Amino acid sequence: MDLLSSLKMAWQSLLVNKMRSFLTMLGVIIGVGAVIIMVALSQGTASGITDRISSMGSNLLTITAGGSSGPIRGVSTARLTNADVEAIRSLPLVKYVAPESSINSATIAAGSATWTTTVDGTSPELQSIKDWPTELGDFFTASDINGMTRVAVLGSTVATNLFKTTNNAVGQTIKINGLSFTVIGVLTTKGSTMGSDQDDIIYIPLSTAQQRLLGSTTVRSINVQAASEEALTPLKDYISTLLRQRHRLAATADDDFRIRDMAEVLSTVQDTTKMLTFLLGGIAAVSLLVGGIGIMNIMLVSVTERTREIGIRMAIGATTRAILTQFLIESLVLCFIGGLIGVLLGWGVAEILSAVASLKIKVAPWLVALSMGFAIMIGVFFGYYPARKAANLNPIDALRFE
Amino acid sequence: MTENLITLENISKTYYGAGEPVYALKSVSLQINNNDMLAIMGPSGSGKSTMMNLLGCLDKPDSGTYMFAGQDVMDLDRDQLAHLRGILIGFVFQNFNLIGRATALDNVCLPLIYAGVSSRSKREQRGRKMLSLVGLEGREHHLPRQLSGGQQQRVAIARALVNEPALLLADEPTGALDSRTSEEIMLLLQELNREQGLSVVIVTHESEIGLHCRRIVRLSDGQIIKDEIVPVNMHQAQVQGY
Repeated sequence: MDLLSSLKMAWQSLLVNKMRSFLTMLGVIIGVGAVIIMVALSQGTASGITDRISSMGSNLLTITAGGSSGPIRGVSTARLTNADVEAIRSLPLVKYVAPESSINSATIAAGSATWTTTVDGTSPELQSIKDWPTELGDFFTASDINGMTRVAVLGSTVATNLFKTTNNAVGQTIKINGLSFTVIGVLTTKGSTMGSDQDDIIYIPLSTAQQRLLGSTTVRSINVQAASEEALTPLKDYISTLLRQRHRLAATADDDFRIRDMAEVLSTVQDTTKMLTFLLGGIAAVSLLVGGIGIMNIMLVSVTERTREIGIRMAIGATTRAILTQFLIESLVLCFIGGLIGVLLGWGVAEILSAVASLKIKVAPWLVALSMGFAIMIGVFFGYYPARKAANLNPIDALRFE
Repeated sequence: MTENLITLENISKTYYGAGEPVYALKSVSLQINNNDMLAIMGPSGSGKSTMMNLLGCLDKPDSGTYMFAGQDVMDLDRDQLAHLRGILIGFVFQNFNLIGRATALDNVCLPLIYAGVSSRSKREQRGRKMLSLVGLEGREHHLPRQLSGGQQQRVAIARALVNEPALLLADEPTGALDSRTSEEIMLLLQELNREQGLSVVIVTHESEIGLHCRRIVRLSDGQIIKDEIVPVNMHQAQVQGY
């Protein structure tokens, strides 16, 4: 008995009960679709977070004020100061140091246009750490820090919102919380990750921010880029020792600062999202399994309904194997078509989600292969028992069945 | 091929159900020659159906010897029996037993698929030939429900003949047909027996059907009580009587 005839036979019998075949398939469609969406979604989230973290710069340590264990985390009297920054700058293994102090929702005005965004006071090294070139004009320099000049470098989102296009922004004057700044550069577009726009920011010299806008000499965080990946661990120790010394902490006291290694954060995030992928994929797989049980149920009904037909086929020469193959192929066809529709559905929903939620969701080929393979396995596994039941019928009883 | 198509010697079959065992056939012996046309008759419960199932290799006797075309049926397993049925036996049933969603041609071609004829065009060519043999040219793509009872039985006969079997086994082939159509079907079977040299065994309880055959075997209570030759003039008379 050849495959083509078997397929044709299976197709014909599935067409007899179109609605039933579709409903049976629906279990597999939803199962496969759910696996695709869930796994793609968690993978998209993972790659979004990874992108965001790696866009902060490589081999990066971020130091923030406040200990990791306090009564209320983040609320602390401890401060990081410009002097701390300078001390860190003189440590070995350091490549770049960029302190940051920011005004979170500053009002920006340019002519009649206004915009609310984050204004970040920093040093020119930040551009090197983030590896972020300007599209037009230049980033500010060390002399701008020393001279406390009122210059600003705009992210592309800010530039387009204030000046319609990025082209004519350089040289214009903008007001940040009422204070005039000259735009000296516009950064290239980085895009948004996880729904937050990285280009919605303005950089100004740290000294200007501290003196003119914040009125304080503290810094919120210090980004330190190590000379190499191997340097990260020793550098972390150096910084810790240095800051404990500078802050005059007793040997028993907790740190009043936190040093975060972005590589560590990254691997933690990756572990977490991997677990999330397994969890969501597992839940979706359960729904696929339930779909498989639906297939088995319907195939059993179908075998009973078609007992007489099975008897006829046996009378005219169908072997056990031929009947087994026929019913197995029917369940396989159900699962295969259901799987295909499920993949398309999952893919479609993933595309819509990635457009709406600006998540980078990609349906990987291995994911399609995996879920199709799983659907086919379900077809064989849950189709086998009903098919065997059909094949083992006694031809006489089957022929007499009403 | 031996002269005897079928040799049954001391065949017994007993069914063990919930109550008393039913002795369906008790040490029955029967020979069927090639090109014979035989009616097996008897009241219900006489063992007719059991006889039909055993002759058709749908079941095996409990004891005795069963030779079919020189082959010992007692030695065959389930799949070998299925193969033998497919190649050597054609079945015709009372209620036609066609597959409802398949066209006449697909129904006729089905045994060829199971017999391993893998070329579709070869199968269809053979199927068309069979349909024209039973007078159903032009109905190839009709579904069974679009055909009359007589036409459906013709499709069933075409299906039974498609593998060129040695034996056509008909179980009450006219039971669901009116008398005129019954007569047509019986004439077709006679013609096949005469022209194609096909051996025909008909299980029936209608005596007119029996008279269309060359020989009548009467069963009662699991035993053969009479094995008679139908006089040629009666046999012919039935043919011409239509």
